[in-house]
Amino acid sequence: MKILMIGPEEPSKKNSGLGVACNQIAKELSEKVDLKLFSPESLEEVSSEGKSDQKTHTIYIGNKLGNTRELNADIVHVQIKSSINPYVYLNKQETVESEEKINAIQKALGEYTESLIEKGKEVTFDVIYAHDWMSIPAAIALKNKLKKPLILHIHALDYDRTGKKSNSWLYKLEKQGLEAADAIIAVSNYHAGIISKNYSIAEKKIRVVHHGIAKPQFKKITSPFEEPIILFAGRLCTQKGAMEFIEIAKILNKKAENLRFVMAGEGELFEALISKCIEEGLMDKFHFTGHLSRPELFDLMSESAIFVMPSHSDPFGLSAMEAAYAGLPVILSTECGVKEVLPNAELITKQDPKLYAQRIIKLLQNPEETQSNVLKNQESIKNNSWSNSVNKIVDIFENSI
Amino acid sequence: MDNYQIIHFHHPVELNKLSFLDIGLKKAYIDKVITNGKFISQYKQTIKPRLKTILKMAEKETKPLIYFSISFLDHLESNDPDLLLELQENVNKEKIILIGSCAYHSFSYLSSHELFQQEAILHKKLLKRFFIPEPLIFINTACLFDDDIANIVQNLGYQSIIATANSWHLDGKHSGQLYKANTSKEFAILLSNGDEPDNFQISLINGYGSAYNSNQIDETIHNSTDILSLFSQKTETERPTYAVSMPLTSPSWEHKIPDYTNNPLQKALIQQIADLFRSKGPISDEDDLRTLMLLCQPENLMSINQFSKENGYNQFISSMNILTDLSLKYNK
Repeated sequence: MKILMIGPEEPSKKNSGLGVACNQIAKELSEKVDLKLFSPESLEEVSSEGKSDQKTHTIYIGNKLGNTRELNADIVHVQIKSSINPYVYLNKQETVESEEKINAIQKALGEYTESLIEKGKEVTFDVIYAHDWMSIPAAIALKNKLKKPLILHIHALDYDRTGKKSNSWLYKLEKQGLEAADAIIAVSNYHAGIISKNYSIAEKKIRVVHHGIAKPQFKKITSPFEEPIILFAGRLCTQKGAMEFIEIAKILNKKAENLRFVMAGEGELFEALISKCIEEGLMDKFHFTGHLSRPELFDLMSESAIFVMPSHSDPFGLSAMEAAYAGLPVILSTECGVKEVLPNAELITKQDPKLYAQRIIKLLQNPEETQSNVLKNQESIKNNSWSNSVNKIVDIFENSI
Repeated sequence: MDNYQIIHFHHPVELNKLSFLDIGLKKAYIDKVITNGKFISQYKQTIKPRLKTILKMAEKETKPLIYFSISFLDHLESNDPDLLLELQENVNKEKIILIGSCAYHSFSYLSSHELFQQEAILHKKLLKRFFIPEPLIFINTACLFDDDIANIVQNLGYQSIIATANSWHLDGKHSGQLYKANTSKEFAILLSNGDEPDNFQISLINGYGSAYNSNQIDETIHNSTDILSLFSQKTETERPTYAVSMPLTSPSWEHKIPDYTNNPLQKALIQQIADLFRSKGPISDEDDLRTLMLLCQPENLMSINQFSKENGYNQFISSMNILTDLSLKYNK
């Protein structure tokens, strides 16, 4: 079976969880099928890594689609301005600016799509396997032109990024892709529900394949701090509940709990989060790491005491599974797909920082129970390999031909 | 007209990039290789010719007024000890007049009085390693917004201070005008960079490594009056008090103070250094104090500004990690 995969090949600071998942999927797929990968990369990434692989066609995407921080910030900005909302009073100049941003992103997407279509014509394949919105226009064009089935693997949607259903061009693009796809792979039942409910997609078209875990080797690292580290890892954005994590820290700091808080990752809220920490007088207990490589993140996990994921909407939440694998107790928002593979995670049903703070104290005060739950979570994910996930994906390919 | 040029020689120190995971691993804070490399790359073409100009001025008995930062002298000692010896001889014969300030030309005063005091003490102390005469005039054009700073400088034995004229506040006062600080004991302030020069002026010149716009050393200047005697001039009326409400940079400095302080990242770093002194008490280790001063170098503060986001973030994180690493020592 010949598969044309469109998506990032390597995890990088620009693509975070999507890159990790696609990287693992591509590795496993190449063992099981004849894979051609069209990988969007910025010139900077290509030049810094200097790699070239026969099965990989790199498509240059330039800065506009390559800089995730800027892209996400722009998209959020654009959506605020372009939908009917309380911001209609914004002045003309800002409206013009937002239109320019829409044009710039769409223009970059158009150029990327054209390159993909050109490249796509040069290879033979049986199935188009595309990941997320950036791949959608080219995937639809290739499907229509070459009459091949399209499998769309959804890692995150506009709904997750903005926290609500909006009428943005991105939402429309995603809906168009979801409708055109012959089958859709969702990363969790939670996200399958979002796809079905918010994009009006028939449930029977959606298959759920949970992410696997690469089972990284964790080094034993002793924290330099006397205080336990409470860890947040992910893109610093509203979707991930980054601001809530600071609220949680604020509550615990007021209670004079002796804790350190570490926020790993980068994103469009970086500066606002730092400002918030200063305002709340938290900077002596709160640390920002910026972007960490995967091994660095695993080292940080091994130093930490508790992993917190207060996401507003997280289709999966791979870092929580990795934290659980590392032996950390995890506290999750119920709006995270990863809860489906971590039955002993602490779940918080309401986006209320007090509840998270209470749960952190509970975990620290009950080490035996906490450790028991850690072991149960580790047990429950021991078979979640990427190979198993990809076997399910291959089944979906076979059923679509 | 007399023109007193205060010529600055400084060499910014490059700090190592510390990641969060480096905290507690006793990594070095200073990148000696890069710092020295930068000095070497500038030495032959820029630094040496300018120092030779100073020596020529000394030979002509024009008594050039020089601020040397300690990092500059350390690098000069390592790279051209012979030229340093010539400078030492001229300073010791009082053919070159030393001007005191902060050891690393830093903005430590923005963060903490104590750090500023330590940096001024360190400058005096380390100058003694190189020269016999002590500086009597202190220059820190930005620091006089705070009376405590003037007290600190006076208590260190300085006879006078040179500060920037806040012309909008003082309604057109002139360079060279003499004021007194708002201190309990009489302490003279000579204004630099006023609206217009009076019968003499003070010019702030970049010899090397500081952010003064002008790097034109006028070696022909021969002043009729010794600068120190300006401070002791008798006046019929009491000297007016000079006090300002905010830190001011000299108009001839490349950037304004808010460029170093107003970004959230800059604020966080400055605030955190201040909090370290408040929460941990006196910092006794000289190397730690030096690190804190280096974090307050204008170059470091500037590098974490809003105009260079990507590098700014990384620079900020690294600076905060250095600070956390250092502060862990004082928890025990």
